[in-house]
Amino acid sequence: MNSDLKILKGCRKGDRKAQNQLYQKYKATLFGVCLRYSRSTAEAEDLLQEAFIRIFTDLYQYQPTGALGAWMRKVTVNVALQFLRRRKDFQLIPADHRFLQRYEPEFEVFEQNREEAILRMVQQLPDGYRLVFNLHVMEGYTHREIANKLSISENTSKSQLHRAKAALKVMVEKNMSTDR
Amino acid sequence: MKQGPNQSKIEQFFHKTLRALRREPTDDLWMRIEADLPHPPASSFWQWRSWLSLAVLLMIVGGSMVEYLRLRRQLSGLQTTVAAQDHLIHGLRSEVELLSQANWPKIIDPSQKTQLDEQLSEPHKQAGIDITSTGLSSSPIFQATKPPKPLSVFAFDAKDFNLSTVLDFSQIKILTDVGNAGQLPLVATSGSNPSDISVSMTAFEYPAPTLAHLKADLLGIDPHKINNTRVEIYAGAYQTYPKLSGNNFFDWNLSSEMGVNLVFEFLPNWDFAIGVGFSEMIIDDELSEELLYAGANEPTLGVSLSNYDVDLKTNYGDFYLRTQLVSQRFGDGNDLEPGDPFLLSLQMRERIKHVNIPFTLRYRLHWGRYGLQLKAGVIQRFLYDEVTRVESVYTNQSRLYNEVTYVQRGLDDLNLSTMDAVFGAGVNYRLSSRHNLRLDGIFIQSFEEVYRQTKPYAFGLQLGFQSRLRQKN
Repeated sequence: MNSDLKILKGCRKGDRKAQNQLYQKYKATLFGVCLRYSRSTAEAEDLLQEAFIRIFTDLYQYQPTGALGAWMRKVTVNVALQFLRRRKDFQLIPADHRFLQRYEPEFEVFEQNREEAILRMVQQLPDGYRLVFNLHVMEGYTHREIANKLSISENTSKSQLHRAKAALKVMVEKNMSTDR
Repeated sequence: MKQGPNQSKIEQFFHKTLRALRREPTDDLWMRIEADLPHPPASSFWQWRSWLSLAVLLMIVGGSMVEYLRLRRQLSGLQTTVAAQDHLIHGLRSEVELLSQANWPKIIDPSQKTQLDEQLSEPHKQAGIDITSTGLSSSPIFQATKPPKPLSVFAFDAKDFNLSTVLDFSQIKILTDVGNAGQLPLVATSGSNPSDISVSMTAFEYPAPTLAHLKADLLGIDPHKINNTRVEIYAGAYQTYPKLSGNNFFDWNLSSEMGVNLVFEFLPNWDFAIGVGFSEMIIDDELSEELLYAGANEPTLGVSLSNYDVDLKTNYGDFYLRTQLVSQRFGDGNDLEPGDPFLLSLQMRERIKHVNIPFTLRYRLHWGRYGLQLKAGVIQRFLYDEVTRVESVYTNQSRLYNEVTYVQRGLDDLNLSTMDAVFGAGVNYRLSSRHNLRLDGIFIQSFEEVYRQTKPYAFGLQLGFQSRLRQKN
């Protein structure tokens, strides 16, 4: 904690060394968050870059009473939301529901690297599904909070979550199927 | 968020798998982030330096402004004071002008410096000549810039052409200011009757300051300490005439002279020169139809004929003619025997050489770039050599021989030392502040006989180059 405070002080003064220390300490965790919200690794890196810039810029808002990691994660999620909504092809409610028909299971990956396989499933969800799923399942936001954040109704949030889970279930079942 | 009891299995599965997902981004991501970050603020040290620099700058600017305003206020006060004392300054200025006039040229107005420099480099004096018909005469002084200091007046009565009066003008000092034209001295010439309508000529001498005296005035030192000594190299050519006191007939010819003088200015405009020179008088002598005796043994006149040589013995010296022509002519139809008389005419040229010691007084009438001057003095001459040559020999108007001989013996009756009087008048041209050329017309009259009842006199020109010696400090 003392180490975090020291880094925090340096970052607030714009010290590059402290900023790099903070980056090195939290880059893996936050990159994991970004990967879940993005469609690809490259997009996740762009997101992470923007998230860290926002963190360094807004660091003065951070109150040391809370955990620094949790605050940074929250900032990263907000950046992810803004990042996705800025995208031109962003659709909160997907127009095409046939994405599951195009889904190809990755059996070997599923067996050898379960985490990577699961991440790819999430990344292949439509933007709206993935967003609501991440916010609710991973971040623990209620449907009311999600509705406020995304300016949608709670029912829409619920239906999106429901469809996301259904889609993921199908994907998991396809990968676990012995009928190859 | 903790896993709630109502969370489905699929949610739990994904939450458990991906919640703690950690992945390493690519290595260059930090550089991209760093490039997008704003530049770090300057360190406190540099901030401190910046603030200090700014403070110093402000202090300098502020201090300069304050000082400028203070000086400006002070200047304004001084200007006010000067304006208030303006009448006093004018008074002082007038006083200075009066002082400068009274002490000219010790106090020099800078605006007149160029003029003064010219005067310094060109000492001059003026002379005025006036012709009047009464006992009162006047002559304007064409020099309005400074008061004249006339020393003397020479009054010359044109009626009987005698130098009738010499007045000491410095005792008279009657000056009438005539404005820009200068000042007019009034001089009464004694001995003139105002009722006479006679013409008299008066020459005024105005000793304008010479270079030496201007310098002396300026430096405040004794003018006699100013070195105005000059060295002069001179050369002259004169036509000499004999003033015979006997029956001798000489045709005198050109004389020449050259030498060196040391010239001292012992009074303003008065120079004394002493020097050393060499001169040569040329006398053409002709013995016409002299009855000579061939081979005679008379001591003063005769011809001795032996072989082809002719010895002439004359009253003017012994000459030796070595000429085949003469002997041949003597042999052709002339049965002259030694001792036989015959008529011969001789033309001789005598050159008398002297070492001269001239003593001359010179007086400068005007001393500008072109100056006028008079000179008078004596020349002590010492004979050091003489040469007499027979130029030609005639008999019965037929030239016998004209390539004649050398001197066998010098002329008799030459004075070893003589004294001449010399008078001159001429112009002086100033080449520079130190060098000048003079050209004088010269008249020389011998006091003593140079050669057997002969007092020659000469008219000629003399050219001299003078160089003033440097002032010793």
